[in-house]
Amino acid sequence: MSRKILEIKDLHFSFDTYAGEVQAVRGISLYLNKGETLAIVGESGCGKSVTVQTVMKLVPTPPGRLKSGKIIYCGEDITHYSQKEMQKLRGSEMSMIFQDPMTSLNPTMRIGRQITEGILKHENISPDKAKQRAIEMLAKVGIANPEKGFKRYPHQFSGGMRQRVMIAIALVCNPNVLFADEPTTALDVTTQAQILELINELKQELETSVVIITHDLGVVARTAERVAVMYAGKIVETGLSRDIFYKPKHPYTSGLLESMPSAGQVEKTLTSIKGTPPDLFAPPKGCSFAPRCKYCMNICTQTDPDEVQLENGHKVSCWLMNPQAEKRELPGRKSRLSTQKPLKEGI
Amino acid sequence: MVRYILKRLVISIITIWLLATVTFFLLRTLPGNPFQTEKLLTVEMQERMMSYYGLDRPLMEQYFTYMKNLLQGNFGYSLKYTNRTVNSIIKSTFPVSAELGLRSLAVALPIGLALGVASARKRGKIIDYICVVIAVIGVSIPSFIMGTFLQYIFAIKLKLLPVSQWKTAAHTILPTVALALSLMATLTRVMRASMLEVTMQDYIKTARAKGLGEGRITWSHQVRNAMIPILTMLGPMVASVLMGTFVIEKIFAIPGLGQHFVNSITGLDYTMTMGLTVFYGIFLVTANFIVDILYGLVDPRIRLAK
Ligand SMILES: Nc1ncnc2c1ncn2[C@@H]1O[C@H](COP(=O)(O)OP(=O)(O)OP(=O)(O)O)[C@@H](O)[C@H]1O
Ligand SMILES: [Mg+2]
Repeated sequence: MSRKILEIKDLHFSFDTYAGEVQAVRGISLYLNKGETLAIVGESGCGKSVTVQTVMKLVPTPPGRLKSGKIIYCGEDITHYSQKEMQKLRGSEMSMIFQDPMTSLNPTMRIGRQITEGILKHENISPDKAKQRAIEMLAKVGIANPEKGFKRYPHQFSGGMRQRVMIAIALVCNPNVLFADEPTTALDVTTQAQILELINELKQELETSVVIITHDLGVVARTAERVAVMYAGKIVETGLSRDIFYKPKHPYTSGLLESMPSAGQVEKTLTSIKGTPPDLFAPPKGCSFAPRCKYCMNICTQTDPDEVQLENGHKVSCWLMNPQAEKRELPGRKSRLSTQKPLKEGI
Repeated sequence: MVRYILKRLVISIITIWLLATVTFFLLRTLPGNPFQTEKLLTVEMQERMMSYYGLDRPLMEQYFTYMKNLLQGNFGYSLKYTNRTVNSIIKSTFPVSAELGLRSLAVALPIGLALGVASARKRGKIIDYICVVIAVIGVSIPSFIMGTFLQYIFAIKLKLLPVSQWKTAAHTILPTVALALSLMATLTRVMRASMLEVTMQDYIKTARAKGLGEGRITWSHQVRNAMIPILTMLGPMVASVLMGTFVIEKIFAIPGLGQHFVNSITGLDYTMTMGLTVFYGIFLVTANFIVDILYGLVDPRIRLAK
């Protein structure tokens, strides 16, 4: 019973640099249902941030350049919205929180004003009312003594508290979509768990749809109903979290799962995927994962695989799915993840 | 806060003392004596002058005498201007230099910062190029060329303003402009770089993600943060500008303090050089102290760390 609130169709995005064209995003299609959490996972530099920042048009163009593709928000094609039109959407319809809470708040402006300026931009209310709203929001994200917090500067808060403030800024105008770009990467483990918990709670309460970017599969397990696995500017596999975790079909996904520590694992050494992601200046012919793939076949280095549809919207781009390829059992998650929350049934 | 100010005061006094001591002994290592250059004096007369000013005493004794006078704020007699104390010379010439300096700063600061902001906002556009060209011209053309150029155009050709001297308000315009141009160029350059630096910061992206307009982002998020490096250079800049500029004062025949810095050294006027150095030192230390307080106003991280 869900509706697509956001859809990206075959998005291509490049950077024109002196050294040449960096093809950061090379044909990405994904969608976000109302009220769900979608996780985008993948190694550093695979284009996760560029993808979501392109949706909000936060990537400076130039050097960035939208080559082709469509972005549809609430049934409206926003691909070619001007900056002026985007300003109306940002903050009120879609928001973003960033990786590093230490640098994403203005050091010389009080927390309170950093929250109210967004409200005042989007809503026609008095500064006093806005202040009231900001204080309520600070309380909601778990800032003790929010009246006092309102008057503080960012450096007077710890990293975790600052990320809470960022969440308050992002959600104060009650947007439909929240992009959380590695919101916990810069935080310690306990704080990570608290922040994820907070995002989950507020998402329920405010009925926000969330896109969470991470390279930590533990985060996926805690938050997301669906996952998109990105590699070198493309989505190689996407589906329900439990399908991705227990029945991965792409060797890259399987490799990511294998390189993830699990509770109670003692004797087994952690495996990692050998090699590094390809150069986005000149992406290789064929499947971009082929040079690192354990199951690489001749065809893989020649032609890019087509996307294959499996059950529950599970999609994978890999030649192993081809009927002519030798059947392989890819290792997935054996044990249940200790931190895993019950996954919702169906889409 | 009181503790902080006391600490700063003690450090300042030590700094000034070190400055005075080092200058004192360095000056005496220069070859020759203050009276040598005056050709009319015989060697015998030179020696009489030396003993009149106490310069024939042992060096350490001279040093202690000087320090004792210095503690009372007494810089002593100039060795070149007969019967004039260094204090009285500073008193009569410093106000002129300070006035010229303040006028130039009043012109250069707002314009320089505004140009810096404008060119950073329109990076790569025509306005940016114009500002960069102005900045490069201002930095690379020496003020004696700029000064004479202004004199030639506005005083000699157009006959709009007096060529030189320091009498009426009209006299102040050309030297003010000549000095302001180079200050403005520096300020524009630093402000532009600083604004561009701030543009790359994550919190600017946050501001954009809130839906704020570009104008709003510049004024409430960028400018204040971009001012921090400007404040750093403002202390030394204000101090040096108020102390007078030798070249401008020479070209425009302005009776300021700047010329004495150069003349006293070439003439080995020990007391004058010492007096000016210590005066400059005190001024610079004070300027930096004020800047540090301003820092706290702009940047809350520094304010609370004290
Ligand atoms: N301004 C830019 N100019 C040139 N190339 C860029 C620019 N911004 C990003 N890129 C390139 O685009 C690619 C994707 O970057 P992106 O920031 O989306 O990666 P990411 O998946 O978010 O990685 P991370 O996990 O490190 O955040 C990278 O290869 C990067 O080098
Ligand atoms: Mg990123």
